[in-house]
Amino acid sequence: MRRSLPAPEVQRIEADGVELDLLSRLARREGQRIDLQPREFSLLELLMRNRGQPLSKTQLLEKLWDYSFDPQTNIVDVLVCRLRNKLDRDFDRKLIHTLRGVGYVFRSDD
Amino acid sequence: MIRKILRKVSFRLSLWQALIFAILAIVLSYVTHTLIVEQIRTHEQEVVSFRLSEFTLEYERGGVEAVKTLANARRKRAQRVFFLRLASAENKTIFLRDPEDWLEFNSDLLRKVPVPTDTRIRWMELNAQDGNALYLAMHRLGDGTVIYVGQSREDTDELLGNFRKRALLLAAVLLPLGFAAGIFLTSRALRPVRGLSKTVHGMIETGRYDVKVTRGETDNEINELVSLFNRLTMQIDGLIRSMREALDNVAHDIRSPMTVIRGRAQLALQRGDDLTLSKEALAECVEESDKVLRILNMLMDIAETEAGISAQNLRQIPVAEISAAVADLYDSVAEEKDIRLKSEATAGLTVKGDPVMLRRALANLVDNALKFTPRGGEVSVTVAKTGAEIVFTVRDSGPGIAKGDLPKIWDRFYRSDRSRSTYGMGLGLSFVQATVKAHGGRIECESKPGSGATFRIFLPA
Repeated sequence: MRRSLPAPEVQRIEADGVELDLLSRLARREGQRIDLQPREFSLLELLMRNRGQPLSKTQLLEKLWDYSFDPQTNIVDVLVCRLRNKLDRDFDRKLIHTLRGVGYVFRSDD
Repeated sequence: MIRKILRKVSFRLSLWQALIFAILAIVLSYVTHTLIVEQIRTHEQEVVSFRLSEFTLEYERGGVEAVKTLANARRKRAQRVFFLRLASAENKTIFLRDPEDWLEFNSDLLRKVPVPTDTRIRWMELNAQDGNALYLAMHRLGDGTVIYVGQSREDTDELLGNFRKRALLLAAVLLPLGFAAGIFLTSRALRPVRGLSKTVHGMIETGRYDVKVTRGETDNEINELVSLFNRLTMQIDGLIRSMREALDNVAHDIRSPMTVIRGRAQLALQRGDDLTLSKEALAECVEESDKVLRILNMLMDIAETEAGISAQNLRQIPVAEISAAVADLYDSVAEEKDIRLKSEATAGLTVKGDPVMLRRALANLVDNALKFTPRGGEVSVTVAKTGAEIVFTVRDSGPGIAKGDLPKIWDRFYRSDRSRSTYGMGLGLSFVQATVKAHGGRIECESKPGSGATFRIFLPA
């Protein structure tokens, strides 16, 4: 009898100095602990999983809140702003960028 | 032209009425006539009966002579002429006394009548040559003699004839009179209806719906129709106005972004080689396009919601789920603006509806509340049950809505002057209203300038 092993689940995401521990929901940048609220963590996880690819506000709204309507995209803006404050403020290299007309993206500065 | 008159209600009503009157008159006359005839006949029979027994008694007392004497005596005093004949068993006349003016009377007629074989009284009617009738009683006496006593029906026939003639004359006069009166009265009663027709005609011609029909004073069916019609036209007029206004607003609200799009695109084309400018211009075009799409999508969603919610999307949803999801959405936003966002829901309550639509409607209200509440304020969301309804309450500590503006907030695209700068308010409330209505509920807004606004959604439990 042969057992097929389940595909290994991703437990950690790493990129550009940022580490995400998906089991314990902890984030670090350059070794420093970053205190993120659950939804902020989910946002960062999403952006990092799609590293280099911009995600539109509508997509983020849908994925983070399961809300597919678009009365006020402010909600997403606010969250990104807070994440930025926590992740990028104390560092020279900005990782979260706004592409006007397209969305938000996680990548190193060009 | 004649056909048109024949079709008119007033004509037909009057015609029917005249017909019914005629039938009733005929029936009444017939019944009266029959009753009169009955009475007359009964009386006639009594008189003849009495005479018969009188003469019979006299005959039994004193034979033919006695009868003769009595007959002559009676004749002198009688108010009514009478007929008397005594006949033998072989039907030969023994004594005959007939009315003087009956010159035409032929007593031969009587010879044709068979002699009765028993002593029962027989009654019959004979017709004289001149058309007058004779009502006769025939009685065979013990010794075989037959006695005939009778009375002319000339008078009574004349009376009945007069009655019939008069009745006919009356009917002939009254019928057309009644018909004419009927036409006049019904015509008058239908005057508001004609007025209504005329007004509607005018409305169709001119396309103006703000006209009223004058109604009569009494509270009858026709005047009620007129009142209802006036209310209807007022409603229609209002609807048309608000739709026109909404259309104007939509056009305006779409034109602004479109102008920006065009301007930026054109500018970028003019500065052809500037790649950065081009990219910026394109980004702005996307953003402005999103604004337009948001408006258009909202309009379509409202229209779709107004058409109703399909049954397959309806479920019993715990209300806490809805309010929690909405609070979750706006937590960060509230924090950003330093506004306290409270959310409370009575445990265990459920409501029947489409979860996505309800969440969206509630989100709209909270969105508005947050938009209008200044920093440091408070927005609270409560869900509770009162009576047979579930109530969603969203209260804010913003500037509130002026009393005069309150009814207008539900108009599509309405915004008070203050909110002109922000997008979404006008349509958002219309969407909420459509959703609430589609769920069979209602929505109310309470506000005092300076002390915020409270929106309440009532849904059947």
